[in-house]
Amino acid sequence: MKRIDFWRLDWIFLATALTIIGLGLPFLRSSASSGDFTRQIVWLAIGLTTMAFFVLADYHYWIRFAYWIFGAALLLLLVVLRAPAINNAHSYLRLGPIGMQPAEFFKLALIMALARHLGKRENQHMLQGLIIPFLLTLFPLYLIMRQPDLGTALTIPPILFATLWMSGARFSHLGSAILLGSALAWPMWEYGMQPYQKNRIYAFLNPERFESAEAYQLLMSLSAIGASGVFGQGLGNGVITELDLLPEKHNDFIFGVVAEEGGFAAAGAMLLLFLVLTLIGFHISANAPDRFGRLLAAGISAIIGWQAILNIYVVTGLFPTTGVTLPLVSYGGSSLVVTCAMIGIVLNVSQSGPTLDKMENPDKI
Amino acid sequence: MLRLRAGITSLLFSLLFAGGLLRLADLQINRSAELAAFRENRLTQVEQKAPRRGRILDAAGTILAEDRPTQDVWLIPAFAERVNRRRAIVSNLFPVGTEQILLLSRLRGEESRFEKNLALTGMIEANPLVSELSARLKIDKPAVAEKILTAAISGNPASNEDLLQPRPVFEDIDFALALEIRAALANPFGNSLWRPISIRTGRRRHYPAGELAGHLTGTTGKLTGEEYEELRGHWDGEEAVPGRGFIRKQDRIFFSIFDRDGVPSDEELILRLKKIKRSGGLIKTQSYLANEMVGRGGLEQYYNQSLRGRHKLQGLRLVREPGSGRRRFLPSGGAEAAINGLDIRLSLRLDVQRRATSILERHIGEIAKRPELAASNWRRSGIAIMMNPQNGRVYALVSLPSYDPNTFSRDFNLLRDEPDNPLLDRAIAGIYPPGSVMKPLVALAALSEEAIMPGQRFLCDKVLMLGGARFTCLGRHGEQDVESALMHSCNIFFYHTGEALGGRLLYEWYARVGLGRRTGVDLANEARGILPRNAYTRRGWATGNTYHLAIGQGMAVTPMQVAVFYSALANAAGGIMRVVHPHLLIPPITPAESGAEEDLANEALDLDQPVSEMLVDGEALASVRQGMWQAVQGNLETGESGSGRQASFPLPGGEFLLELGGKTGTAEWSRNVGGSVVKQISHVWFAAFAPFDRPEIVVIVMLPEAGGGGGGTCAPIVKDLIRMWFNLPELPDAMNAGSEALG
Repeated sequence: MKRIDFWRLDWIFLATALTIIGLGLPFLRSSASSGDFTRQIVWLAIGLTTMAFFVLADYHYWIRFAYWIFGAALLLLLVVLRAPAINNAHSYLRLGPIGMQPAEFFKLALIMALARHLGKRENQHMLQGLIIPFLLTLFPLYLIMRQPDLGTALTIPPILFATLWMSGARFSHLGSAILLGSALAWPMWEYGMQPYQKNRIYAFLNPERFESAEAYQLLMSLSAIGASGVFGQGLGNGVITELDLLPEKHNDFIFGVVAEEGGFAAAGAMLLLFLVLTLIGFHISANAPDRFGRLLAAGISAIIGWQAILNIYVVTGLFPTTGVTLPLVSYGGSSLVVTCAMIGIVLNVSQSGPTLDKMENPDKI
Repeated sequence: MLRLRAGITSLLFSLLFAGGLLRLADLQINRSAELAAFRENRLTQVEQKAPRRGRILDAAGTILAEDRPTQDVWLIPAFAERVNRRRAIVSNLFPVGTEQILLLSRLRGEESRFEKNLALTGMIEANPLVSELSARLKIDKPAVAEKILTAAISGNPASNEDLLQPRPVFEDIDFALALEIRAALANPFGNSLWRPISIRTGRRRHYPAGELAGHLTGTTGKLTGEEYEELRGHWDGEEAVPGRGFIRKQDRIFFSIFDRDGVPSDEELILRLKKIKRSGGLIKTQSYLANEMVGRGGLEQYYNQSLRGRHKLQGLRLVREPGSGRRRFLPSGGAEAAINGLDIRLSLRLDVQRRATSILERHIGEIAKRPELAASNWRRSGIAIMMNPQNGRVYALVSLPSYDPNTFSRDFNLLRDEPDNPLLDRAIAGIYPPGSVMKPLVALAALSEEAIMPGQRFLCDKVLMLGGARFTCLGRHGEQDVESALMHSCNIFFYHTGEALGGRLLYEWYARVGLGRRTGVDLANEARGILPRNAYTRRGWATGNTYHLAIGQGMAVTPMQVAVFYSALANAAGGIMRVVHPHLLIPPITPAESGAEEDLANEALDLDQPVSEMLVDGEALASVRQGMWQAVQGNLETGESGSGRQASFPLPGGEFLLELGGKTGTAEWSRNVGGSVVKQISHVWFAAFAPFDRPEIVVIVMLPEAGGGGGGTCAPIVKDLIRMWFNLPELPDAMNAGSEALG
């Protein structure tokens, strides 16, 4: 294993990630129960340790085990469907005192597997080169939707598209795939969606008229966010927290708490930090020494950026309510640890020097 | 190439993030104020609670109207939060099948409200709670279901929180039953059936005097939805309302229900709607509550603003209960204390009212036995007014038939359809031709205007011909002067007098004593009567019309208007005649404690002041009053008796136990029956004041369509009323043995 070069480590990327975590903590403190907050601090410690591990561990070393990791994650996705349902979804796996969401780990496993697969081949500009990556993604995606967990499912495709794109797939191919996916939306709606999921979309389209809990929550959280203005209500003073308006307030709706209690100042800052994190991620990807590193950084930046966008859009009413966590900020151990690991990997990629890897040919893409 | 691809991806993400940032800026900067208002609106409510309504007391402090505690059944449509309104009603509260819920959701569409309610009622009827309530309250199931449904779907349909607000369903249930339900509710192991139900103590208006003062007190009723909308539109943003009797759109309908005896003109109706009463004694008003009890008729309506007080305002805020974590509206922020309604004390003396009513009823009972009335489906109605002529304080105001305000709302349909029309307060809202009771005023006018000279005589030959038309008198009275003409109630004399005076002056004098306009008595729905304006303008006016007007025909008055101008004739002293303001309100016994009470007391004192004063010729007045004396006591020199002798209190030897002045009235009227004019049985009047020298009471008795002449039918009633008032002993009736005289 190579020694890491601390001088070339992207410190700004690390600082941005840590700032996001630090900015989110007070709002988590105000909205989550003290027990949950303490648990989250423990998870954060585990997450930072994981991050450190991945910063130190050269990705060239563990990329060999990518398929094994992917296989294990896939197995967990199969196992979790047999697990007892929590909140009507089979998404949670409980092992003694520790609970985990296999889908969160799967995200990272998929990025690793795709990087490994695409890193070795250079036929992504042809259609047959796309078959295996799509299969690798779509089968687990189906399993996740079976849980059902639409939110997590929505976060997966950008990994595929970002890695394919950064490994040289044609725009026309990817564009057609996106169009095809959109065309599948209708049968999905008709046969694949649960009634509560449909309700959320109705509520999103017509909040004033739709008499549902979802619409009520949306209206209340939107007005709470809007009413708080530039500097917010102050920590712990928001009605979202005070009235327990949103069931997932410390989880999927943590950004609503940030926006209400911290105002536009805090919410805007957090949004910009995520943008910075994403852009640096792609910058690292573009400057990676080899295809593995490039694809790892691309997939990770894409999923972190995409989740942040999706979450912010849901909370501000630009997208129907879907359970997407805000990376590094939302309550939840699996998500936090996995995201920390991702940050660590990108940092490791950032300090890798140019290599003479045979597989790498910068001129040919 | 690689950098380009990374750049494109970065640009794409930057655009998506920019979208989020713009949205945040739009919500938190651009629309911040609007959304803050929306949020406040959702988070806060104002609870309003009506205070105790003021009592109505008679002069002695006897209670005529007061609030009494009741036990009411309230319903909470939903316990669970975040539930769909209709689903909550049906599934949460009343377990029913899925099919019916589906039906419901279909019905939420465009179908008529009727169908919707029908479907729901059917469903709710099957519920065990409904059967239970139905059995205990002894109301049939569909009615119970309908009540529950109405209560459950009322309120703000957009708010789910609203479903947690209890609302009344059944009011004033049996106390024992209320205790039973309270016990069932308190039992933690009891039947969960009662969960949506709670028992609250409410208030209900009680009228101990019942029918006796029904027309005076009026009653109370809930503001209807339409009235509420209208009032809200009207009074919003205003501090004080200029009128205290509140004016309703339905006045028009109400009026037509009420006024069967007289037909009001269109102008009358319009003015009625625009009527603005004097302010004062007002608690600064505020918006009405949706279900507020307001006065309906009588004093309850007239003094509604004073009686209703000011309701409590309490700011509520949506909070989470510390224990259960349930969201509910709890008091927070400012509260404005309730101010109980003001008590209204009346000049009315309930004992006098009671005895006057029984005297009137007794006489009506006897009169009804007359053959011509027994045949004619007589309404057995009658009016008696006893009033202080000096200041207009009303001691008794009887209008038969009456109604019981305690059961008014229950019996409304019955009362409305009753042919006797008990809802009409005939004393102030019934309008009738006055007939001969006008004659003293005509005489006074003619003498004052020097249209006739003192001592002037006209010959009564029973008939007066005017261009081929016959104007008749009741008898051949011969040469008549003012006194004897009043004594005999000679028509011919007044035809001549009226002609000498002229239609215009006649109209002016009538108008000056308040005819053709409201007396201003503090009771709702007063009528104005009809005074033909053509007498003044002379358009289409002939001498024959003047003849009629001079004997009180061709016009219509309320008995209260007659009481006012007889008060003026009675109280005239030193050449000044005062047109009093008839009223019931008098200052309270206890000193005023608040500004509003002081205002009310001042208003009561103000009401004692006359509306206007008139200068009259002392000699003319003396001669008219002499005529009114003779109309009762007769002419002692000639031995002739007057038309109202049955009201006199003769003692042997030409002395009188009590001397009074009075005048009979017998007003003929006709009805158009199938194209031909058919003469109806006369309205009969007797108006008197006593004692003659220093009058302390004016008594008006009027029996619509009773016939028999004012002297024969009404004078004995007036006599009994005056005897009752002055506590006079019963004497052998030597003078009344003679033949029945007509007025």
